[in-house]
Amino acid sequence: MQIQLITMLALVTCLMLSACTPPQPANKITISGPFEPVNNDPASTGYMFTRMQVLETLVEVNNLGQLVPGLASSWKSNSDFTQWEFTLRADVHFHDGALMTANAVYKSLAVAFGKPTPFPKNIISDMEVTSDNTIAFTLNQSYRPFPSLLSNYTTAVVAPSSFGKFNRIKTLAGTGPYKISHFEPPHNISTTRFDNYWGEPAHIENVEYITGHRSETRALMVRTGQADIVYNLDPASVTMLRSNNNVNVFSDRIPRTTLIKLNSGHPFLTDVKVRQALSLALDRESIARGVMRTPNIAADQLFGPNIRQWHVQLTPDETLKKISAAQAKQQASDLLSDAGWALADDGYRYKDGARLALNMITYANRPELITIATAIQDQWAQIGVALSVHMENVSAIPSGHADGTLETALMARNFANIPDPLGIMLADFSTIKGGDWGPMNWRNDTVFSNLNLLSRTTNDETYNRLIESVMSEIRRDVPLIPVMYYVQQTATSNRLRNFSFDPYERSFRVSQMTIAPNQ
Amino acid sequence: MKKILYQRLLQALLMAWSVGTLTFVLTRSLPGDMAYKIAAGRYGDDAVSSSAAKAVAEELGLHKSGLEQYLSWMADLATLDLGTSLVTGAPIIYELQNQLSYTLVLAGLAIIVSALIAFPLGIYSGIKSANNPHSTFDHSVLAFSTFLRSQPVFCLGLILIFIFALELNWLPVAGSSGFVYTILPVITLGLSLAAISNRVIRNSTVSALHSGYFHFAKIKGLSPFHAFRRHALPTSSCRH
Repeated sequence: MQIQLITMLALVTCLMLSACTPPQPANKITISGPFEPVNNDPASTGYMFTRMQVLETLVEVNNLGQLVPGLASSWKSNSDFTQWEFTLRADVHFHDGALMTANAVYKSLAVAFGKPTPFPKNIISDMEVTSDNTIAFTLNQSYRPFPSLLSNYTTAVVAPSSFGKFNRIKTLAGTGPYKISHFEPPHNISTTRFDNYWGEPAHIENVEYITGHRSETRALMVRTGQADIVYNLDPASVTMLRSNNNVNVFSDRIPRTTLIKLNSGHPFLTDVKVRQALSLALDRESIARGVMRTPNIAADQLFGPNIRQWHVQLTPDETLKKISAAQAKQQASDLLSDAGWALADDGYRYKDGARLALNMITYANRPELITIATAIQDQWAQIGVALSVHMENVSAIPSGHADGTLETALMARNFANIPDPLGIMLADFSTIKGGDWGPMNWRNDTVFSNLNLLSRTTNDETYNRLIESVMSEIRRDVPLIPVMYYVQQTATSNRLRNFSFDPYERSFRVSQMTIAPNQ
Repeated sequence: MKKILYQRLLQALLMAWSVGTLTFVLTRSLPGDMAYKIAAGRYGDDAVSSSAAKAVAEELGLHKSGLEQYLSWMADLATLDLGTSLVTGAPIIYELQNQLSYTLVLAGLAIIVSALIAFPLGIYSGIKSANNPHSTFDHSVLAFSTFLRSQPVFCLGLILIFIFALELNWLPVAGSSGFVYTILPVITLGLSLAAISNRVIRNSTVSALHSGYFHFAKIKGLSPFHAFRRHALPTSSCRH
């Protein structure tokens, strides 16, 4: 009797195991990334629903960061950029079947502007529906980069039927090529193709997103064929996946830069020589190779080479590579000595009895930051600066900025939130207040006034000249220290065709992909 | 009887009040600004800002006095209203159901798996050891159990992922959308639990086999198998 029972159990287990490895369905792909879709509100999780192509915005962004028509087919402004009118695309349907009208867009944007947005919405003084397919905005100041704000995920257009009591989202219906079929926050979003899509319909029928918290897990998922696309891989996993024939690895630059935020109002940091010395003392190339295992990502300015207009071509004299790391360290030491900081026997610098000691905040969500911070700690110690590194919640940076306690912070700044860099510069670099993720207590009147001119100018030549002046002034005055540009590592299974990576990370672009037959 | 019930009810209420108060005090005494942390959880790294934190503070009434917030927290608790998550906005009861259900399923299945492994292994080791104190089988199981138990569970999990997901490709690496996803975590937890419980069962079996009542059963004429099944097995299973 017992033997029979055991045999039965063994058989059932074998059956279960053999049923465990169904081939991946031919009409479905699985994506995994570290992003946690916490709820269905575009204000907080919109970035996931635009990536899954459920939601779309009025304005889209191409690979070069240029604005292109999205749900708005065109837009225009008056001469001083205070009045804007957007013409909506015709025959766009929401997933609930309703037609997208100017009133629906108005309602969606009105709710979005009532919630926190990662851009200054207080510049909008009025919004109105001017015809069946146009919507107009009046701004209380000249703001040339305004259309780029309407490319942000928080302004994605949501069907009127999505809103419930207090304008909370009941069921999310957008206009994208995929609609939600199942949503289990924070670990799973499943979508199916929306056949009534206004553009070219998607090829792959079903898409599932699984939150994979660890980079190593995601790497194993794509290696075993459980996932077709995995995002945000760590350097060690990339090395492993590159040697696997069933997986393709893609490395793409994204508009994000690792920066050191400085409190320029701190008594030790008011002197520009100290800030310049701290920047010079960094051996960025070693950090890039040692920590990130990616050469050529050392950052010599705020915006990376993919942000073309704002990335300034430096002369050979200005680049970081001109001098060796040892020479740079010597120059940094000289600058500190010039600024009155004398080297003492304990290896640190002192001025008026005070030691040149600073605190640096960083956060755990991006695992490389703490390693980079430790490298910086060591490199600054070599020129006599004592740095203590503190791991905090990511919110310690804006809160330290607000209460003035922040000294330095290491952070990965995302420049894709407002694809037009002018929007970022105006928000962060145009007043002494600075920005939560930008400069702090930094004053440079030339930059402030030139940025103001930039937001109003209509002449392209003047525009470019002003950009050059602003960026060179910022490079000289060091309100922030650029460390390195970001490279996003992605891997796909080799049954996936037409994969492309969106450097602005707005969309997974699944609708244009196909699955290779017979695999 | 009634008096005891009243006393117990009072104790339960006092307990609920003290746990509620402690939770409130601990949450408020966490370092850092609460509004900023909630904003970071809600809007993510790239969108947390002072304006988002201000909006959160206004929405949740964080500017109200501590006493006011405490009273409203207690009032909600008294009406069994657990409220909504500060980060996701979903009702807490849903969050509990969602997260707890996975935990319970995993824990329940892991206990079953550990029993399926630990009982046969423990009893067999016990019998072997009772017959021969230097039994190789018993010593091997001891060594293996010590090895398993000295591993952190995640390490064991990784080893199983390497074998069953990467090499054999039988089971998925991660995910939660079906029974097949529970197999690896359940075996991991079950093995780790069984590493201890099989030793407990083995010791009980040994002491039952050395007991007077077991010898008496054999003396009165029962076969070793029957004596074991009727007299040693029940006591060794129940002892712990």
